[in-house]
Amino acid sequence: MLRLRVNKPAVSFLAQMAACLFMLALCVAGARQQALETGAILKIAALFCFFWLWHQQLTRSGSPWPLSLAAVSITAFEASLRIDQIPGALYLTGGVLAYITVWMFTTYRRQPGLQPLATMALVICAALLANPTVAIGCFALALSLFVFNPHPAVGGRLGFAFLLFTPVTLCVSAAVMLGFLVTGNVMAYPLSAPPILHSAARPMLDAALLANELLIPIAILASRIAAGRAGSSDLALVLIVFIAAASTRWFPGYCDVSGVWLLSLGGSAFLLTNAFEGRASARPAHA
Amino acid sequence: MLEPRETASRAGRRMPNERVRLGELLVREKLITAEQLDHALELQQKWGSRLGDVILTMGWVRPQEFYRTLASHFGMEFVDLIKQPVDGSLLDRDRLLSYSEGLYLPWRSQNGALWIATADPTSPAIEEIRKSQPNVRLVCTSKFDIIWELQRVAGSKFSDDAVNHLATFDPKHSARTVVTPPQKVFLALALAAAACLLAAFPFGFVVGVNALINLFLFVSFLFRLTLCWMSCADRIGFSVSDEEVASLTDTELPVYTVLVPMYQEPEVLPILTAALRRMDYPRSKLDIKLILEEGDAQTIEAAKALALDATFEIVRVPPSFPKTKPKACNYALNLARGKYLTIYDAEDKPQADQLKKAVVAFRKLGEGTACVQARLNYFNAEENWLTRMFTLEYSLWFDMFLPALDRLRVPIPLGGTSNHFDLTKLRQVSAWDPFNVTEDADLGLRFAALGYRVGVINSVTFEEANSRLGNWIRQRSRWIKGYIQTWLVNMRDPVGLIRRVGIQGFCSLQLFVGASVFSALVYPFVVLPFLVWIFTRSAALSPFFPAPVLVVSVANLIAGNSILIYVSMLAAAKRHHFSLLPYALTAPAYWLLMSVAGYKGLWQLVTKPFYWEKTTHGISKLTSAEVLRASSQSE
Repeated sequence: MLRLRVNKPAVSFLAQMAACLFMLALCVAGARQQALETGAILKIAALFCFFWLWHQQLTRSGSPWPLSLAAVSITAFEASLRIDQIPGALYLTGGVLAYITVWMFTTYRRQPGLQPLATMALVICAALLANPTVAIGCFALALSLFVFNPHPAVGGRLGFAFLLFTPVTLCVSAAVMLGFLVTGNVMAYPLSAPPILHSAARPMLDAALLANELLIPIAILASRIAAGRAGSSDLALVLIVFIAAASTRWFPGYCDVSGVWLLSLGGSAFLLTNAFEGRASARPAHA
Repeated sequence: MLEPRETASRAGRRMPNERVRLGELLVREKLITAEQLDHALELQQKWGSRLGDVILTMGWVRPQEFYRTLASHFGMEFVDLIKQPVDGSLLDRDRLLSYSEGLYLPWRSQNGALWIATADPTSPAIEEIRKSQPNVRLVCTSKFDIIWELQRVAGSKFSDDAVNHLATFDPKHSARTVVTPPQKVFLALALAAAACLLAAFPFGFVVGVNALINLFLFVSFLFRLTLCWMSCADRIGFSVSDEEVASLTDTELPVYTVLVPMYQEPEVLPILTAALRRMDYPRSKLDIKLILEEGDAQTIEAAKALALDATFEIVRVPPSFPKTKPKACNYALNLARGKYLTIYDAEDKPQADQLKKAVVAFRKLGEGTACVQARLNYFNAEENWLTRMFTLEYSLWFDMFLPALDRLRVPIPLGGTSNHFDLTKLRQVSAWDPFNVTEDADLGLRFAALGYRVGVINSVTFEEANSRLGNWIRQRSRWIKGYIQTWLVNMRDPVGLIRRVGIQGFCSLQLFVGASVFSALVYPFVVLPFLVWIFTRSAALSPFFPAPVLVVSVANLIAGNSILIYVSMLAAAKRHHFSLLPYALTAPAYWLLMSVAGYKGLWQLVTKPFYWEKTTHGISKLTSAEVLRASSQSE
């Protein structure tokens, strides 16, 4: 009789490492067409550490204080560097947001609660400031939850709508209002990064390159389907990638293919992590 | 004057088997029925209390008659201490606590014998005295006579201690001095430096100050958002399960003191007594003290009229300065007999199992825990806009912020009521600061500074939310004034504070207590440029608020408001007040009110630092209905 022995901390550690390395690869890939400056490398490393700490915090294995310290350091660091000079960091941010959205979507589907909902709501806001395509993808995923999974624990459909969409509504209203106040034009959208991102990202990535980059997520999805492990998170990923791809046609001035790429990579990074996490929580089985 | 008489036997010297049992004696005297005795014996078994305590707390017999019978049971003389008062010169001022805990007093001294009046002839304290002093005689009296006489003889000392103990023994933690001389010097230097900088670099100075204010506010908003996000988890921090409460047996429960300070609120007394009677705790182990001001004849008369059972005691606090709730509680602390102690406001409705949960919490959290705070919320949330906003704010505070602060192991500013203390530790830290008008918040920080833990338990006390604007502003101005006092006290020695509570504790004090006051005070100044900008397009402000600074301020204002609106929503959802979610959008108007109260509090800190702005309770429509219901029940 064989007994499957699972070393949970080790597998969990591997999962986090896998996710973080994937993210690192993501931002290095994003930055590969430009020379990396010292500031950019430092920033990528800082974001990498922050993501790892946050992951640990969410999996209840870390202390919140290093996380807060990391957040403050990164904010200070952000202020000291011009974001448009660091495409790698921008890519990492977009990828992380996609990762978290798919993660929270899966968490909420497993057990509806306030924390995944609030995280998704805040991530959509952050995505709106970082990359409109990612924001649209995340928003679409949140909308699908609203349509299919409102839960009494969060106040049913009305409560759900308030909790999920208030931050993004406030964010957009504020942006429109500030845009109007600064430029007199409601469409000025001064808080968003699109003009910055566009200038940095467009020369780097075209549709042909995107097709190559999508090979990794497609491989991950295929392997999960083959292993019979595909579930709602896989479906969610496909959904947001399609919506994001469609958004590049609907809003060509704001959305571009780099967002689609970020969503697919970030989301599939979560699927990869989830595979490890699933094994970590597996019960010892008898064969 | 009546003199001590030798009774037929030396008090308490007969063997127990010679005596008729107390219960039988009470039945024989027709003070209770045989059925009542059987019931009392059952409860005695269940609660692990003495029969006398059970019978008294059930209210079947008047205390005076009971103690007469008790005297006869022990073959002792009964004395009425109101008619035959104690000789005050016999009291040992260092043993006042022992007198109140052991329920005895030295009564008279005659022919070399010391006569002791006791309500508990079998207490260990009496046994100890007998061992140490051979020529001791006992007389029996009632518990209430002991408390009355103790207050009469030692009241002035109790009162003096209540006011001065902390300021005398731990002056650096007392708010009696509002701003210390070094703080005054620092403040003067800072103002002078600011004036010089403003004169030399008006543009740079305004930009710098604005940037600093915005940075601080933004970090404090983010801190609050992080706390809320942490508390959104289904289970955060410490909790006591229903199973753990159910596994407690009544016999193992300690005596619990409940302090209820009241002033000019006779109308809510029936609600209070009804709520306390509903507590799931052996009544014979409750030591409830209604703390009333001596001059408050109205409430004293109302309390007497309720003919409360022996669980309740009325403590009359003699007039002295400052006339504050913490001073009254300090006074009553001298008469507390419990292992643990809690405070409720007059209109509070604690969940029935709260005391048991606190007992479990103290056991689980261990020796280092000095206090656990129950969560507060309101029963009249839906009454009007103000009560809705107040409920949102309390949900945010007690369901989101405090559990997260507990999780972070940083100092927790306690809420006004429903804090449960380990009585020994409370006395060790000199209890409440009578000069601080948010004595609870100050005490939580003081416990942390002394290395004790303050926890939060998952039990709720429902209070009455302020439904009238004037009353709300009075209450809030006191809170903000008290927060400034607390901040000033803790910032007397910032380096020492960091050493005691760590850098995390220090930061959390600034971002939580400091930022609460600061944001209330600067809020209008952040809103004002925004409004001026909208109406004037910044032309009027351009000399002092260059466009980049103005944009940052306005962006911060919007981000801050958005964050606070959203966390209020999360708090409402956590407490399942889903109907309050849309009201969170009106929170900016509520914060403007907070600014009004903030400036009132600041003004009072300068003019009347120790003045206690009384909050009127019992003004809610729901409370009025509740009073009628409770009154009819008590009748």
